[in-house]
Amino acid sequence: MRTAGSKLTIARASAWLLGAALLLFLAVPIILLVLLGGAGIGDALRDRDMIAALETTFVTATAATFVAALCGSPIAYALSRAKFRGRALIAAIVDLPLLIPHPVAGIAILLLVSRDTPFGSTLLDLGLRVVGTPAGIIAAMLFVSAPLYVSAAREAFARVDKRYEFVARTLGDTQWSAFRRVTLPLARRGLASAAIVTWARAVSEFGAVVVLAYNPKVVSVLSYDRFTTGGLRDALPIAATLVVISIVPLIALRALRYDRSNESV
Amino acid sequence: MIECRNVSACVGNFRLHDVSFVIPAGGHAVLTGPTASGKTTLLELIAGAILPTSGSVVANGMDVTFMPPEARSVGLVPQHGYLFPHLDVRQNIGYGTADGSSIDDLARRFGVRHLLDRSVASLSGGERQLVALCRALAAKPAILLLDESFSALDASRRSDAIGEFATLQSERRLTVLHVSHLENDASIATVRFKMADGTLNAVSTAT
Repeated sequence: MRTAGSKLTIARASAWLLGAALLLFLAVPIILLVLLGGAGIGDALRDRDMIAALETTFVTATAATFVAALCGSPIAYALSRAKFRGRALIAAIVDLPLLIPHPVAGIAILLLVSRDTPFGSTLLDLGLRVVGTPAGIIAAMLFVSAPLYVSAAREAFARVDKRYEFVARTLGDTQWSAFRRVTLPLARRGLASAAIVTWARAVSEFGAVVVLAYNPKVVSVLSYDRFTTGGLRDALPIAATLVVISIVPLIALRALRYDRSNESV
Repeated sequence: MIECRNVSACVGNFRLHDVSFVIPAGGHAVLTGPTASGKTTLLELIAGAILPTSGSVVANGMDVTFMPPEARSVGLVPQHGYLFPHLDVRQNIGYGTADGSSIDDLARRFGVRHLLDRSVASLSGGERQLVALCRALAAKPAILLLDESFSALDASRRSDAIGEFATLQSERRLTVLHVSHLENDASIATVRFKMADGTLNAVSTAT
């Protein structure tokens, strides 16, 4: 008959094994990718198509992040502070893109901005073509990454005790001024983390982008293109470069979180 | 002066019931009462963080019931100071004023001048309270609300700070509502109130 102590040891060992299996499953493919494709990164960075794709990816992901921060911060602040009718509906709308498969998100945006739609034709009349342009890539990236920004920014604002704002107002600040002078600086690390997550998500987006703009190519689309035309060997260096690029924001995030853990708000 | 006329308010499950009192201009009222009796809620209502469900708040002869906090000329020193952690002590004290000389003057009077270039994270509880008091005074409000603002000071420092505060209050003819449990704080009161269960149930004029 097993004792309670041995049962606990078996349970603990099983939990460790299950956790380790998942960790290996997450890490091994990425490590293999970098190991096998890493040698080709230098050549990939001299490839004209790759350089153009990197430029397009950085510019469009940065633009999508900027728009997400500009338009998402007021929503995040309102959701973290105010109680108003329709709050749950706004939160649900913001979360909706997270539940939709990304190619479907691309199709949905296409329904809005293609030349056959009133909105799309109006944009064309104004000289803004979305499908097959960087604007389309930005729209796709924004759609899939903005919910992450709003969610993280909402948490960042919620972590700032609203009494700081109130005290600032008793010292003569208007609501806007208290937000600008107190809440925004106190939430800055959380907002920076939100922007980094948003940027990283935008950089790695494929499904929605490929529907709206196969060209000009972003890195994820280029790696897919090379895979379908040249197989694994051609795709590996580009995929490895994308993984290395994705590690940079991860390191920045860790640095910000470490910094925050050493600071009290 | 501060006047509350039949003020009721609701914050979550807590209610303030029909609170009425007057503190004349330059008066110093001390408000006592058990924990969770509504003292801090009353201060926050007067300062504008909470809106009443009925009644009105008059500050310096003006109905401020629905005015934003910044338009009331009502300062607040919260119990835990709520110093802005991203600013140093000098920047905290100077937050609500453009007059740099008043920062040094107030810091000297309350014995925190040597802390001016320090980060607020390095301050003790008592030092935080004194800096929060200086910050509120630097903004030159007509009315000041103190929430246990001397509670973290040792006896000697509290006595000095209260003495200095009384002098400054008299110089500025400042109207003060002071939540406190300490007998020493009540020594400078001109009026005493007691609260229990959201009701102001005893008012006495100090002798």
